[in-house]
Amino acid sequence: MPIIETSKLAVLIALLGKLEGSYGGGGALAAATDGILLAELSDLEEAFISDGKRAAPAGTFGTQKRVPPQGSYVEFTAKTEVRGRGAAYSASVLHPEHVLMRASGHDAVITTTPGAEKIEYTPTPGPSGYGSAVFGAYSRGSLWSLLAAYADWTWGSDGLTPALSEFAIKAIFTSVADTAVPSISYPASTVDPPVATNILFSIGGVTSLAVKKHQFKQNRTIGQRLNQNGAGHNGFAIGRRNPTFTITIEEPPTSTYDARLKRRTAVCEPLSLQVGTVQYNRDKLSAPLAQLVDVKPGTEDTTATLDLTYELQPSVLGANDEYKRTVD
Amino acid sequence: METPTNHPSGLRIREIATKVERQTIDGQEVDVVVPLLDADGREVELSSVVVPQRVEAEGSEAVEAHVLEHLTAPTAPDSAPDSAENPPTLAEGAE
Repeated sequence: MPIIETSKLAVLIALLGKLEGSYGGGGALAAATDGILLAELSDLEEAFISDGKRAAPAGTFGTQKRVPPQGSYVEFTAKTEVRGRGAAYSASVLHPEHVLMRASGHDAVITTTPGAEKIEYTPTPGPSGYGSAVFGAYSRGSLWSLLAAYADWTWGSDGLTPALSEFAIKAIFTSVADTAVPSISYPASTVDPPVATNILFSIGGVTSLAVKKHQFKQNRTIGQRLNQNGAGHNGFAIGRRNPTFTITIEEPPTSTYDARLKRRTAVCEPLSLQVGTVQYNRDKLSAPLAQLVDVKPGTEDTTATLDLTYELQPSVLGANDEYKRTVD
Repeated sequence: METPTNHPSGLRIREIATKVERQTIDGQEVDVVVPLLDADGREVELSSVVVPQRVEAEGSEAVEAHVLEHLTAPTAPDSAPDSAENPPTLAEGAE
């Protein structure tokens, strides 16, 4: 049998993405302008609302052939290294994760004042006006064309390596075709992501806690919409969000930070964590009212540690300010 | 943290009032641009423009053109100092 010289490679991944003008409107992607530099891309699988399976036929012990599956969609995860743009932010100089942040239910306010440029991402109030994206995902030698995509955002670092943003994406599937990865231009590809040291963590004014790892989770509910009077899949609907922040610290003296007391008394405190110290490569998560809801003991070798989980609450009922991501 | 009161969904471009503040960073004294805050601790917004999502979807060049077309001329509020005429003294940022 002749040896096949080339094969589809599992290691070559790439992602193009841009915002849709309206939900499900799609759009044309360009390798020169729409590249999103990935750290990791999960394998893509086509899933279906209905798999086409039919009931067992009467009078037999066997099965019968399925009808074609309907309502196809794709769920996948894209990870990016947390890095800034390395240049002053403006309407045309956006954060490398800007499209993914907008597709994960965030409004963006860009401050263009010279010397104080920044972008602030806060939760979109809803129930309408959510950003959605069209993606071209290159995976295993194929191009997956996806639209009407929403994402759920996770952000953090497990050690001293650069922080990662993780976007769990749900999108409507349109096509998949054998396509080689093109030459893609990425913004900020020469900017090194800051490592997770000197992270400037503060909780309730306490800044001295020794942090082992940290993670923010948006916990955004993205529901499916079935439509018999159409192609089967009508896109996705956004439900509640429940942002949480988990952190592992060396267990401090109770005089420094009494975590169990704060949990017992349901205290809400301001929280902030910043990665990076160089302007235009800083990334800061801040929350006005972080409420400690879980305290679990752990160990790092012989050191006593605590795993703390905070729920991030809005400043007033109904506000969309339970957290803010500032890149500057 | 600032609570957005009239923040529309989507993309907004804005200009804020700033001042120059002398800070010590890595042992060196440097002049740093910092936002000017009002009595409530909020940044003083000078002007802003909302970019519709359909324009945002067209790309950054379309966004920039939209901003240039719609952004009004900044009008400095009475509380915003002109840093050139009234440079902050060390006493303003003194401990």
